[in-house]
Amino acid sequence: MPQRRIHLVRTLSYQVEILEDRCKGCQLCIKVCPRHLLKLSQHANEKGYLVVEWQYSKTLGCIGCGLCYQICPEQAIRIYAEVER
Amino acid sequence: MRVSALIPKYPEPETYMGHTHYCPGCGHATLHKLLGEVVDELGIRKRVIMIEPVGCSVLALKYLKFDGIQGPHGRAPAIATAVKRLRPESIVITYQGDGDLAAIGTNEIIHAANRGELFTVVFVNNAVYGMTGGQMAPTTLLGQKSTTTPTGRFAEFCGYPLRVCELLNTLDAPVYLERVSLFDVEHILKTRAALKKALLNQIEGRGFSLVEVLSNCPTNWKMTPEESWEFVKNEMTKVFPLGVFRDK
Repeated sequence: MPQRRIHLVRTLSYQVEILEDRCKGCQLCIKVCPRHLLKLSQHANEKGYLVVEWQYSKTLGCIGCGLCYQICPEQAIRIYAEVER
Repeated sequence: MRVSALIPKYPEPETYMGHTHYCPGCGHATLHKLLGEVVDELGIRKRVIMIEPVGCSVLALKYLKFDGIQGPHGRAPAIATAVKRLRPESIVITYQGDGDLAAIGTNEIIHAANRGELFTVVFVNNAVYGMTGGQMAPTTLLGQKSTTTPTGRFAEFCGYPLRVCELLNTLDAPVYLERVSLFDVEHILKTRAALKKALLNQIEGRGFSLVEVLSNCPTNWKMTPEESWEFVKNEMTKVFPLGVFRDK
């Protein structure tokens, strides 16, 4: 997979997207995040689960470790790397 | 001005589609994702034939883009034997739960393992019958409450938990037996490696391989997802020790 070679380019920051239609609010990702950027929101998705939300932080932001991606059973978390073009 | 672009750091597997029906925090969905990733990595998606079990994961083929057959309860190893013998070029995976493999299908799995059939078994052990409402399974721990043992499992009446990997380790034919778990990210990655190894054993024609995955059932254990993974980590791994039992 060519996209796997992302470690060869310099990354400016990481951004996390939570797919709200997939999230079931199991809160496993909240526990594993080393920067405590994920928390349970107060709004429900169409299935009725309270979804997890990600908050942007410029100084102590996402480090792209992928722990939340690995532990999410529903693949509701996407991590994007912002790179120089 | 600096022009930047957003690239997904962890590309999603093409084989796994998500949108599952499982309860929040269920280990089945994680395992489907790992299976999808491993199959994508090995590039064998068009050759895989997966035998679905009866149980919660009966709709696994709805989420994984494989060909497959849905077999009777516990008879997946028999179907897999037929498929592998008639179509030797295909990669046959059976995906079975503990009620399926360890209770009603004990006979099938022991004989398939004893013949050394060339397929891969993924055995999901979550210590209860999940889909039917949390009845006691052979792998239920002593003292664990279930619908049919409301005061906990007693050894005098119900026997002891069945350890499938240790049981199959007494046979000569299996080449790879490992017990893994999914309770944290480290063990999820170990599970991924074990699945990859089991599939490589089949691709290279070595023989029967079985990966037992300790999973959870938050609904029937009446716990939150986090508590259920703590239970797997602290209680289940005492009775079902993790590790490689055979690798030859």
